[in-house]
Amino acid sequence: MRFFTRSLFVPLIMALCLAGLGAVGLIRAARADDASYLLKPGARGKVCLTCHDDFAAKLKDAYVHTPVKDGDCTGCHSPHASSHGKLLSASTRGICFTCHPDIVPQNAVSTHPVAAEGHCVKCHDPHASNNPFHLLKSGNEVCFQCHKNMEKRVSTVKFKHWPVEKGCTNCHSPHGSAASDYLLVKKVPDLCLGCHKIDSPEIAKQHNNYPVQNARCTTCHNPHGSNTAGILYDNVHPPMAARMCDQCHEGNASPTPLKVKAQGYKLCAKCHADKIKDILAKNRVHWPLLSKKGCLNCHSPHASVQKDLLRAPMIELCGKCHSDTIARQARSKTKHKPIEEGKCTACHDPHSSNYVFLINQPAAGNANQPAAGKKVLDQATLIVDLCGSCHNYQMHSTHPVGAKVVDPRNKNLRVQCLSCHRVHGTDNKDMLHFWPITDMCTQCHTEYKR
Amino acid sequence: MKGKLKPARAFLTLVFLTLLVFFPGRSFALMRIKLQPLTPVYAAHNGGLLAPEGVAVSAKFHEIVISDAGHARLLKYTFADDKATGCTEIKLPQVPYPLKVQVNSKGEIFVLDGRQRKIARLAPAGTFEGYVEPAGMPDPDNFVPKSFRIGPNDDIYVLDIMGARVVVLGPDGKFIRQIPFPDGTGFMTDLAVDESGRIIVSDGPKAVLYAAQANAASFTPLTGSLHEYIDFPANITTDSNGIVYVSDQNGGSIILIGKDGSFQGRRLGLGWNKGLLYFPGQICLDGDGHLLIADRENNRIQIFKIVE
Repeated sequence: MRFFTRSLFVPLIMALCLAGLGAVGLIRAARADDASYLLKPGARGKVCLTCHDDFAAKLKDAYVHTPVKDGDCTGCHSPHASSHGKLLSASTRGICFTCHPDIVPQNAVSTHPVAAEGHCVKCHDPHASNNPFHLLKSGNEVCFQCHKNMEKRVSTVKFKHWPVEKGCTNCHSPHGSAASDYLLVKKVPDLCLGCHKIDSPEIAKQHNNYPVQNARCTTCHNPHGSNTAGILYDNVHPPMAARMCDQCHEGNASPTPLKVKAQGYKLCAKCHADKIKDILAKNRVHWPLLSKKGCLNCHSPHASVQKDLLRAPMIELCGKCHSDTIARQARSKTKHKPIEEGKCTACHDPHSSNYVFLINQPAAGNANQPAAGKKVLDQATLIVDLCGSCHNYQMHSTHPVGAKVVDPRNKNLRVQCLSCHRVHGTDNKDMLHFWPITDMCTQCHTEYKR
Repeated sequence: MKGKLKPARAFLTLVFLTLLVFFPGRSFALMRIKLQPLTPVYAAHNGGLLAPEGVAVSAKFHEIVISDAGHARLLKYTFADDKATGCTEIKLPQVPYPLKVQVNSKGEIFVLDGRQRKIARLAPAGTFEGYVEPAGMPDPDNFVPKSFRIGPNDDIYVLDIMGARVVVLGPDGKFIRQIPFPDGTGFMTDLAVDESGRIIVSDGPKAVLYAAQANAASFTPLTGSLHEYIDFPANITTDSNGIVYVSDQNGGSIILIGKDGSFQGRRLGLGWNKGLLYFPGQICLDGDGHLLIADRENNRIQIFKIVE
C-alpha cells in the first residue's frame, strides 16, 4: 500500500509542477504580449472596474465565474469594438463553448435548444451569482422561467412526485442527453427503476402481477405528478382504472401475458362495438384506423393527459402524419382559428366520413352522419354549410356560391369557399390562393385581366 | 474564321462527350419528360364526374376505366387517338364506393371498394364476378387492402395495411407470397409494380419510397425523405424503364423518381384550369406514352401525353 501510494504520489507531484510551470509560462507569454500591446497593468480586467464600479458588488456573489474572478474581462469581451452585443468578442455560443466544448454531448439523443443554440445566459449569469453553476435562479425556478405550465402543474397536482419537487435535474440533464429523449439522464424504465423496486410485492400487486419491468412507465404514469392516485395520467381508460388488464391483454399467467387479445381496431371493438360499426359503415374511413396499430395510432390504451385518451394535443397528433398541412397553417399570413386552437375536429371527423377530407356534415345530429331524413350533400353545399357554421357572410352579402354556381375554370366544379380560400392557409392574406386580390378574381373573371 | 471555329467545335464535342459519360442517357430522357395536357374527361351519364378516385387504362383494349366515387359507379371509355370517347356506366350494389381500379390482360376489371374494403372482380363487360378472396394467405383475419395493382403476369399485389405487408396473389386469388413493411415507417399509401416485378411502396407521412426486387423477402429504401420535393406522396406508378411517377396529393403535382431513387423533377402544379391538379388520386400509365390522373378535387380525369 505504501509503495502504491508513493508510486502514485511522485508522478502526481511532477504533473502538478509541470502544469504549474506551463501556467507560469502562459502567464509570462501573456504578459510579454501585454507589453507588446503597451497595455497598462490590469488592462485585461481590473482597469474595467474603474468605470464599471457597480461591478464590484457583483464580485461579492457566492459563485463567481472563473474568468471574472481572474480579472480577465477580455476573455469574453472586446474592449474596443465588436459586432456582437455587450462588446462580446464572439457570439455567446462561440464564447461559452470555447471553454465548455462538451456541455452539450456530441452524440446527444436530445438537446435543450436553449443550450444547443448557445443562449446560455437565459439560465446562467456569466459573471457571478448566488446560485450554484451561476444560475440566475435557484433550483426549479430557473426551469420554470420558461416552463410555466409545468410550474403550475407541479404546484397544483394532488399527488406529487418528490424528485420533481427536489429538482428537475434529478431526471433531466439541462443541456443535452446522450442517453435518452426528453433530456432524461437515463432511459425509461431504467431511470424509474433507480428509485422504484419493481420486484417489490406492493408494486407487483399494483400491476396485477403483470411483468412490467421492461414497460415504459411513462405510458401510464405522469412523472410530473397527477391528480389521479398512482400518479397515473389524469384520463385513465376505465378497464385500466378497474385493473381489468385481461380485458385487453392475455392473463398474467399466460406465457405471453402482455400480448393483446386482438389486433388493431378489432381489440377496441370488443367494448366499443357500436362506435366501430358506425365508423366502418361510412364511405371513407381514416386509413390509419385500419392499420396494424389501429385506434392506438391516436389513442393511448392506458392513460393520457389529453381528453379522449389522445396520445398528444390534437394539432401535434394530426401533425405527425399531416405535417405539411400543419406547417402551411403555421406559415400562413392569416391563421384559421380552429386550427390555431388545435381543433381539427371542428371540420374533420378523425374516424370516418361520407365525404372527402373526412369532412363533418354540419348541423347533423352526429357530426358527420346525416341526421334522419337528411341526404348526403353535394360538395359545394357541404363546404358552404360547414364554413357557414362559423362565418355568417351568407346572412348579409356574399359572392355567389353553391350548387348552382358553375366555376368558370372547370365545368365540373361549383363555386364555394374553397374556390378562393385554402383553409389550412396560404402565403397570402385571408388564406387566398392568389395575391394580389386582382390575381385571385381574374382567375375566373378573365375579362378583367390586364 | 473557319480555323477559329474548329477548336470551338472540338471543345463543344468534348463537353458533350463528358456529359454523356457522367450523365446516363436515361437521366437526359427523364429531364426531357414533359407532360402535354390532352382533353380531360369531364362529362358522363347523369352529370359530370364527382370526386373520381381511380383510373386505369388498358392499351391492349384501348379503354379507360374510371372510378367515379362520388356517384358510386365505374365508367368505361374507349381511348384512341389521344381521345376518350363513348361511355358505359357500371353501377353495382356490390361496389358502393369505388376507389382504386385496375384492368388485367384479359380485360377483367378489379376495383377496391372503400366502404367494404374489398377488391371486386368484374367481367370485361362490367358484371360482378365476386370479391378477391385470398386463398391460403397467413393471418387472413388481419387483412385490409388499402391499394392494389395487377402485376405483369396478372398477379394481384395488395397493400395490406392491417397485416403491414404487401401480399402477392395469383390471378385466381391464391396466395403466392408476402413482404412485410419495413420497420419504422409512417403510413403506407400506395404501391406500384414494374415490368420486372419490382414492388415499390410509398410512405406518405415520411415521404419515402421503398422497393423490393422481384422475389425479394424485404423492402429497402429506394429514396431518402422526399419532403424537400413533395408534400404528401399518395399515389405511385412506374413506367417500363422503372421510372416512378409519384403524385403529390397536397401539393398538386407529379414528381419523377429515377430507377436508382434519384429525384428527377417536378411536373404540373396546383390549380383548377386544364393541366393543373387539385388533390389528385390514382395515377396510371398506358405504356403508350400517356399518363392519366384522377384529378379528384377537380372532378375530372386528366390525360397527358408524355413528350420527350
